[in-house]
Amino acid sequence: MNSISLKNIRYKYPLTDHYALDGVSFDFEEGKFYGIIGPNGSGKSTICNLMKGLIPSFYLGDLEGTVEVQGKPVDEWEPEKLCTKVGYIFQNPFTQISGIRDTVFEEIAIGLENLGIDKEQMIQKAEEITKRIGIYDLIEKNPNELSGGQRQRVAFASILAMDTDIYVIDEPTSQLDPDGTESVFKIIRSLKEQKKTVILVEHKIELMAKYADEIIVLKDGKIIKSGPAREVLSDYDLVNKKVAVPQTVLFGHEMERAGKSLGKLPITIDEAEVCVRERMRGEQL
Amino acid sequence: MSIELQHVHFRYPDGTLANEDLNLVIHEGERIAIVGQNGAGKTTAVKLMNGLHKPTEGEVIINGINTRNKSTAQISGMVGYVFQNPDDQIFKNTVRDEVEFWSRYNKLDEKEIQSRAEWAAKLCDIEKYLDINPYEIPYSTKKFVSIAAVLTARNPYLILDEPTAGQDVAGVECLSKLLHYMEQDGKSVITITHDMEFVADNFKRVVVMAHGHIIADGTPAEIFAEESILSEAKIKKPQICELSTRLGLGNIMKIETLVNKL
Amino acid sequence: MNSKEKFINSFRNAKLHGNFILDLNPFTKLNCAFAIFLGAALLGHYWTRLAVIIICYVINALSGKENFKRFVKLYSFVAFLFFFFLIGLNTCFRPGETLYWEWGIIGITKEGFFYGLSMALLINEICGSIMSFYMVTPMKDIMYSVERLGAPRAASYIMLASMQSIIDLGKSANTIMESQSARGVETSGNLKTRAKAFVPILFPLFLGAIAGTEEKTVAMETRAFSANRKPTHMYELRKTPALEKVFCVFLDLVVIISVVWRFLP
Repeated sequence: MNSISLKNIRYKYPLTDHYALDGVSFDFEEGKFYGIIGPNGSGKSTICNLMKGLIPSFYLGDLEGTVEVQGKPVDEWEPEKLCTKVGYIFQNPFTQISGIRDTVFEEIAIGLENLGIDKEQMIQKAEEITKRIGIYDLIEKNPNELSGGQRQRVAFASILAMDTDIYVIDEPTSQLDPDGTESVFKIIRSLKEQKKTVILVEHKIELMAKYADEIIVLKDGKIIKSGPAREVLSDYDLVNKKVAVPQTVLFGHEMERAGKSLGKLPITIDEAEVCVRERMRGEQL
Repeated sequence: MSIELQHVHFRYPDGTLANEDLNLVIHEGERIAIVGQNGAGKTTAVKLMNGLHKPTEGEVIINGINTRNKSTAQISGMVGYVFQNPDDQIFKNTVRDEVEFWSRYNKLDEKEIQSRAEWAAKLCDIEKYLDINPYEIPYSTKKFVSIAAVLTARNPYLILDEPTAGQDVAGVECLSKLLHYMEQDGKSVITITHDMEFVADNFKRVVVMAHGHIIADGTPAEIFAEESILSEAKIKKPQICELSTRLGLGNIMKIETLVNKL
Repeated sequence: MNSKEKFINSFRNAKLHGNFILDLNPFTKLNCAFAIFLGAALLGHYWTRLAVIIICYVINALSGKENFKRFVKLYSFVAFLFFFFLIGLNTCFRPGETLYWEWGIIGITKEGFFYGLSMALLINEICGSIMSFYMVTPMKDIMYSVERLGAPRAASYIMLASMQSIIDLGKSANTIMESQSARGVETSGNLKTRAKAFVPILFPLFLGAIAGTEEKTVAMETRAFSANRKPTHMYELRKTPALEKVFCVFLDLVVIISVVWRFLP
């Protein structure tokens, strides 16, 4: 069964006259890690809003086509049930903190409170999550006084506590420094290890290349390319379309152009190192 | 003509020490990147350069003028500052009004106002948004609106606070072009950024900060060669540099260089 | 058990502030506040109203040093203002029989003075009781009790989030002012200059806050805020001790009887 299915989606935000998404169809399979890349304004955030069920219930506008979560159309899901299936984390660490709790521990429990989980279970769950994510030493702090990176981790913890199967993550590190980015990606890696369905929108293409199983390229509201990460990122045409590709891929292209082909286009540094050493086997570097 | 920080210390009113013993000279026309962790003191350091903060010890001298005796608004004529969050800076109802604001506030004549606005909008590639309300345009484009608005002041020094955050390939290219243009125009640009690839591609001088100090000041090649600097400031090498290091070829910044070496 | 484990464990039982006044049930405190100020208002004697004002100070003092300091600062300032204006204006302008001094339209009368005093005491005791209630009852306790009665989560969210928003707005305003001065708008100096710089930013300040609210709502949606079931609570207050309930009933009766007695022909 597919985690999420998009069928012939066409969508316009209210009071606009161009399509934010123009004929998008895609099936997200269970347990896979999907990356969505593309220029700003290509519809990446719109797809995230769709998958979370926020369109059209929250964002209004004109929607054609259907969005199905685990086989059922999104508007047939009760909001509280949908929350336990699809978790959503987005760019701004400041608006994801509720502002109504004065300790991180209670902040994480908000979703569980709303679902009516009994207290002992809530306490255990919150404790376990904070240890797992590495924010245990922040549990007594006021969430409103944390840094951006810390807040983003608390936001992750709050969603992870709801134990959803599917995670939609929209540019979680664009406002963070390298340390914050790394700690967020540690969390994302652990989601991959638990075989959750992850749909990640990111500009940091090097990190995307490391974790994504499949990549979807959006431009002007349409999917222009999709497939296994390696296949998509090795396509030089993307560079012409101003879509980010890892530096190692550009390096691989240049090597080919110089007649020193590496055999395949490496999408991570580790691969590039292996390829170069292979090629240079015997020769002095 | 330069910005000089001489033994500058900056302490917040509540006593926290944000910057300690900063010594830095930036000549007019020079382009530098400032890198380091959040909390390292980068933002407080640049705010000392435009007068938003006054040094608690030491002197900040801009083109011969000591900042202690001037208000921020007076110094802003020499040093422009684009905030990290465009929503903190944009307050007009159309992009055009926003970009024209500085010129109007300083009572330039109408022709000059128009020409500066058009020039800035072209440079930042926001011409098609001129008559739109800033709240309706995407975040990454808003960044360019706030840059254009500050450009119209034609300051000799320009500070950009994390311009690459959230930008796509087209946006980063536009920034590169802008940096190049400013250099040709003899204007200095001081950029705070976390994007090491951007630094390697666009800057010849990098200032590294950690724990409120400046811990290094040199070319990207020099900076990325020192493991101790990288670990203290918690910054990573660009991919190509990391690759070349692993292959034992030293620190190479450009792809072509690496290809030729193999 | 280390401190973090103790902290987590503290949620397993009802949360106590460790102070007698703060631990009283919010509804108990609400009841007392109402009973006291209504009673004193209706009874009309100067001394009952003064007594209420004194009780306010005492209760705040009992609730902790920090709290007391805040209350004294805020209340004294407000009380002084009321006293000054109400007594002053009434003494000078209210018509009365016993005139002490006259000058143009100003006429200092005994009746005016006592009327002003009576008004000032009334306003101050009402103000004092309400302020004291909010000082000794943390908002999160109020919201917990209200939710327990069945109010929707949205209501408590709005109350609590608004308070945090005000703090955030203050920080935002500061940043925006900084960015304006960085563009050459003079923000330091006399009041007029500062006002000129501040007023244009009010609109984007609020617009920004509203835009942020949209994202906040989305974030809360993802945490099941629109769920229809009764929520559980991590932070819980103890069940109201019987003694408190009895005291409330007792106090209410005393007040009712006193008022009825006073108005008996």
